[in-house]
Amino acid sequence: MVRVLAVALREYKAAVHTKAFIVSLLLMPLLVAISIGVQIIAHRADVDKTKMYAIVDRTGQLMPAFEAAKVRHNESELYDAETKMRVEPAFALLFVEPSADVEADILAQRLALSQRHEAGEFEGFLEIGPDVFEIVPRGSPADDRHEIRFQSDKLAVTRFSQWSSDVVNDAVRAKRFEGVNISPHVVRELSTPVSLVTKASTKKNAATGEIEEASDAARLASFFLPGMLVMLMFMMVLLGAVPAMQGIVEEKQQRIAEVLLGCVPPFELMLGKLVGVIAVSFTVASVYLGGGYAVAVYLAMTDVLAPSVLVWFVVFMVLASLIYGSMFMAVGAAANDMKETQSLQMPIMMIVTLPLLMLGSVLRDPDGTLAIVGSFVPFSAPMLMTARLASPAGVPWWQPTLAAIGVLVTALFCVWAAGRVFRIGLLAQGKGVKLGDLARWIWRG
Amino acid sequence: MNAVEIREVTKRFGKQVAVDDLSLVVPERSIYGFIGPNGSGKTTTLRMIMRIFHPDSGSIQVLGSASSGSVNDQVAYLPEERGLYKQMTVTETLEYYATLRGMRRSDARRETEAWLEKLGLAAHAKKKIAALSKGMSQKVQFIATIVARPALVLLDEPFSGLDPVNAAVLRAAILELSKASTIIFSTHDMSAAESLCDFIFMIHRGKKVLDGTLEQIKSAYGSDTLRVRMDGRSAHLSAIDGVLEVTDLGNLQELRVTPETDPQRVLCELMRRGAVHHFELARPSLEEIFVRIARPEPETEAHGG
Repeated sequence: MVRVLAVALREYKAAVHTKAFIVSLLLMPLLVAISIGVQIIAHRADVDKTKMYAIVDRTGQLMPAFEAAKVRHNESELYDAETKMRVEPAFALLFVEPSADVEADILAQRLALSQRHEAGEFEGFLEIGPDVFEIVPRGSPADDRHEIRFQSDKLAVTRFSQWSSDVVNDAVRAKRFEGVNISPHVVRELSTPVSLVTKASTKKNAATGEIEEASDAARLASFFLPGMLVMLMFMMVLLGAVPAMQGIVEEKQQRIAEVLLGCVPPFELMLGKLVGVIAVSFTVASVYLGGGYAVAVYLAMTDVLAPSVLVWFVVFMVLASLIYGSMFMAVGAAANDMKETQSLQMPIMMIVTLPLLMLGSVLRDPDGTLAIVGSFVPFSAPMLMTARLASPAGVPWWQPTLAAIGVLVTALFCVWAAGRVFRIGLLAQGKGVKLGDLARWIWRG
Repeated sequence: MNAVEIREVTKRFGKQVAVDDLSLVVPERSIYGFIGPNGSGKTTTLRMIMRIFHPDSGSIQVLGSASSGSVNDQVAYLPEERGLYKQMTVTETLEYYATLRGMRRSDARRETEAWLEKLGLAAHAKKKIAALSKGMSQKVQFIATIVARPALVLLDEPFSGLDPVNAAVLRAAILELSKASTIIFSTHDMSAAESLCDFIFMIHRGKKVLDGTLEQIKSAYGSDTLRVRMDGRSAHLSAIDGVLEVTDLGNLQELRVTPETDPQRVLCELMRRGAVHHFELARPSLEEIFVRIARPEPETEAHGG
């Protein structure tokens, strides 16, 4: 036990007292901040632009409505009501003379406009069918003549298509009501929409007993939190386990391994290194969680991270460090140099990254089949169960407990198997090792 | 009590037999030298004593215990291929290994300082390993091995790469250590083996070929060598009855004779041929015995067999 702790202490110091560790510890939040900053700046730059759209009005009646709506949009709608900041680009409209109402000419005009769009003249073009004022009987399919059609190769212009559709529909509705002698003024009054508000669950404040609603910021944070915790766990694997693997390769290359085996049995040596990896993980976690907590205090959002979630996070973090740490160490012991670790660690890297790829679906639907299965499979459970626990929906207590037991059993198996690879690999020199060799070492010991 | 008892041990790696039916007893507080050509099985034997490898058959008892537990704090091992963490200082390194061998921190510090002083490294205690010369880091490795005063010390090639001054310092340290500990070391330096060892063990192709005190080994290889110096170089020495071979060493002629040849009769023969300035009953050096075993000459095989 003394030896395990001595090894752990040395490994921890060796890992943390490096420039690379401190730099990557500081660099990671910096990178996140930069990528968010770049997106905001780019968005700002876009917002200040004026976007040009072409309109082919085959009814010949809608130009005034569009002109009025454009003025309304450019002068008031594109500013945020509270902050008075501009949040959207302005619209400029180019009215194009419709072609003759013959199919061949219509197609030719669409082609010509498409080419002008591709040449960058405008963001997209809107074509209003000549018969949009007529009512299509329910159930019968609409055709080109009764449709508004928007064509563009850019995805980011949905805002305009929605806006133009509203303009046309308002105009069409007014005209139709006029036809049956209802005043457009009355129509506008009667069709005032009911507004929709989205909030998170209402909670009872444990201290005051008052029933409270989560603030909008807290609601937003609770959507980001699971992703952040999973990223944190992923990073800890990279900052803890991968350097430990590199350390073992170095010990083999510098011939330190056999000197160590002269004082420590291989399994104790590996356990010591694992404890070191877990200690590094704790360091990374406490730096980031501490930083996150400081930000949360500053924004008065400390209730976002429930203590129970934090406890589970720590439990799964330790188990993940055991699983991934022991696997990376086995690779380090089996490889002769860093190049050989590349091919051997590929499958492990895939197992580590898979939960990240599944994260999007899990966050969208934390109770979906993928999320539930993923959060019980031992290799992805630490990250995905944490994500589900931290999501606003929550998870019944027995689920993380069951998953943790599964992960624990797997972790013990990984440590045992890695110990066998470690013992044989550490003194093996020369020939390259394949995955099949590792399996045989585990099998035969 | 015996420090190590190896009984009929065989160890194979794949098809290759590294150690073949080896039995060896190392008495307590002795210095035992392991010699043998490269790849003969020395390191494998040492690793089996350390229980880094387990024998395929046979048994090994270390300090009275046959348990297969891999390390005992009482046994220390300096492997042939050895390295240290480059980024640690000398003191950090030594205290780390002392802790791994179960020493208390305060004891570790005191012993470390004493040994650094003894091996002339005190001035370098705060330096990083990366900044040390090869000889210095080798002495640090030696201290790391023995700092906890283990009962049994295994040293694989402790002198390789050391200059004569440092080798002498290390020799003195080993002698001092042997007052309280059993020491087994492997070496290619025959003069070190001859001057240090109580017992010599030679392994060749996995088999034991020599085992005993230096006296026993030398007398087993007999006084079959005579060294003479005579007036003028006589080319006729090989004609003397009983002389197998004549080697010209420059000032001296070395004669190998059959075991039953009486040296006095050879001397008479020589005196009849001229003035004899030097006549010596030479016993073969360990190095000669080593070379004879490891690279047998055709004649030796013909006559000795």
